[in-house]
Amino acid sequence: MALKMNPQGIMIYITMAIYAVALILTLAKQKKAGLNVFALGFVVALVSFGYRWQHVSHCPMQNLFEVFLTLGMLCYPISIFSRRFLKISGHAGDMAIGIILLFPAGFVFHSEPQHLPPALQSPLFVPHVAVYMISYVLMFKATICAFAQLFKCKSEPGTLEPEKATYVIACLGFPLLTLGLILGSVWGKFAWGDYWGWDPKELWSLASWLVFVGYFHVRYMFGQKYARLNSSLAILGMVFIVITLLWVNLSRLFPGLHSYAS
Amino acid sequence: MKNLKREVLWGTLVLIILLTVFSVYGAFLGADRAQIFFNSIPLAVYWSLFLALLVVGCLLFKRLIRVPALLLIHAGCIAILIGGLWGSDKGQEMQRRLLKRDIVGSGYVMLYEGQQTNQVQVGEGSDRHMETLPFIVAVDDFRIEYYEPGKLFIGVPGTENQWSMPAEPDTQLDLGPKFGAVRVVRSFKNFRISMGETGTRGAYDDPGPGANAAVEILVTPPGNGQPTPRYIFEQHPGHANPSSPLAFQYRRTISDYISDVRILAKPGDPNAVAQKAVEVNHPIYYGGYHFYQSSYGQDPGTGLMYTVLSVTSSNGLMWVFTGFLLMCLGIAWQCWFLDIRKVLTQEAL
Ligand code: HEM
Repeated sequence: MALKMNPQGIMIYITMAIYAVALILTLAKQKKAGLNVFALGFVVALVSFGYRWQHVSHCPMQNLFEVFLTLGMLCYPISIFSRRFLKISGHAGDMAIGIILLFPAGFVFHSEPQHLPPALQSPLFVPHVAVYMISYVLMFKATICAFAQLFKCKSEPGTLEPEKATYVIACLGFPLLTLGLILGSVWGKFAWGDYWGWDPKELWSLASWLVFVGYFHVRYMFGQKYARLNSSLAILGMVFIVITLLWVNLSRLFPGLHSYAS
Repeated sequence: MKNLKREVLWGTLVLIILLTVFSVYGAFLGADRAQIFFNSIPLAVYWSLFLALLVVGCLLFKRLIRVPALLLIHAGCIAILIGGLWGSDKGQEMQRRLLKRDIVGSGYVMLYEGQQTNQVQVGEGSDRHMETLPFIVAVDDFRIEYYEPGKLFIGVPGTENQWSMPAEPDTQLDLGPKFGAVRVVRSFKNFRISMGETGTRGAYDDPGPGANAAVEILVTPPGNGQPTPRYIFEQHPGHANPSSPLAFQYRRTISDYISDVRILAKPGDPNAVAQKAVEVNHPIYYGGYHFYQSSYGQDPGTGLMYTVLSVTSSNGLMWVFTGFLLMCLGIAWQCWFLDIRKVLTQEAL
């Protein structure tokens, strides 16, 4: 674990601190103030993202540092969209997600700028990663709702109860998860000659996608009869996503195109 | 009928769970062994069963046909499976045997600049053999492009002292009172040395064939000593100078590999039927095959570069890509515009 005492690192720490203040205010029932502070955190996260883009001269989604920087920026817009259009509560959860997602960027991964290798110089690079990033944050949010269902938490009045909220967010994220998988496959065809290379990262992302296919079929078969099973499947999907994003890239157990272990 | 429907749904769940387990297992195997596993006979049975169940599902559940979004999703899956099976190694082998189709398997073409061939090296190890394309592939030129400037790494072996600097002419780095300073004088793409008439030697950048990147630097010892020039070669890091504790490395990052490829109907044909500067992410397509920039090398004797293009047939690809499109549209339609709306309108009532 290392502190980043450069402008990029400082912006990340400021964003985390602002998200934390927003979370404390929200938990202290100062919702409006909490939301305003959350918006301020988003502005700093956006500036930090733009600074990185300018610094490395390409959209910053190349390595795990940049991926977590992007993920940490997406929480606010997703939170607002979910509340406004999908009747899903949980700003506090989204603030916590923001802090968790920025932690690896601030303290774990190296931030040295890298040149884009030839394979990443594709028009599919940004859409493929961006779509995955949005779907990952959505599935993270769905997981929090699933835990809320398992622990029988109540939702705010006028918002969806946790089981339905999990389902609705999974419905929002699943097409993006599908698009991410497909864009990766099409890109593979143009970059390496095969739309499917049986690489560990590809197989874990297929497995994550299949868990959600299973989730939708189970929910179609039984509806809300086995609500705990539905929630557990959504959580399992997120566990697979975390493995796809982190374990596969970092562990020497999975040699392949996407491994950064060496 | 109701029982059959229930059984088909349970069967679907079992197949989805099985594929999840297979995928996790395959991830632990690594790509090469996973490919063999997923192309094995038992898995071919599994894929066929999945395909059959999808078709049966569409026939049994009328909603899968009547609701356009559900139809797109499941028809997309069917198309992907058909394309995948058709384009797989086993699928191509069957087409060769049963339909007498002449399909060249996935392989490699290795060509020096200026050469042409119709031979593709297919298979690995004892299975390695040559297959013949129905046309000629010619490579006129191959080049590598780099991000400029390269980087000069400086270190003191056996200590923690390390520095790096851009290998850009006129940049200077102060290494502190113990180690002096380093200045970059000039960089070379293809370093050569010429012998003058008076026996003087001069370094120059040779525009001819070959690649021998280097930088010329001036190393100033601590305490205003006399600067000494040194050449640092990218490919031959060389030995440390006994009079200086510093060791150097010159590195550049590749930004692109490019082969100028022409496809000819007959050997020596002056008119190309297709041509393209093939680079990573930009293959050339002709006659049912894609050619990709895969690798490269250099003849140590002549300095001539060669390029390695990988070749894959596009058998079944249209089915797979059409399936992708249908499935993606169907899932977005179903999830975003039907499922979410259903929950929200129920809630509003
Ligand atoms: C193996 C064969 C399969 C069968 C027999 C099958 C059958 C079904 C059935 C009966 C439904 C419910 C339709 C309704 O709402 O009335 C359904 C929904 C669905 N299926 Fe499949 N399916 C199969 C495979 C797949 C696969 C591989 C995918 C992956 C994309 C998939 C994705 C979906 C989705 C996204 C829904 C919508 C669920 C919802 O309404 O929330 N299915 N399927």
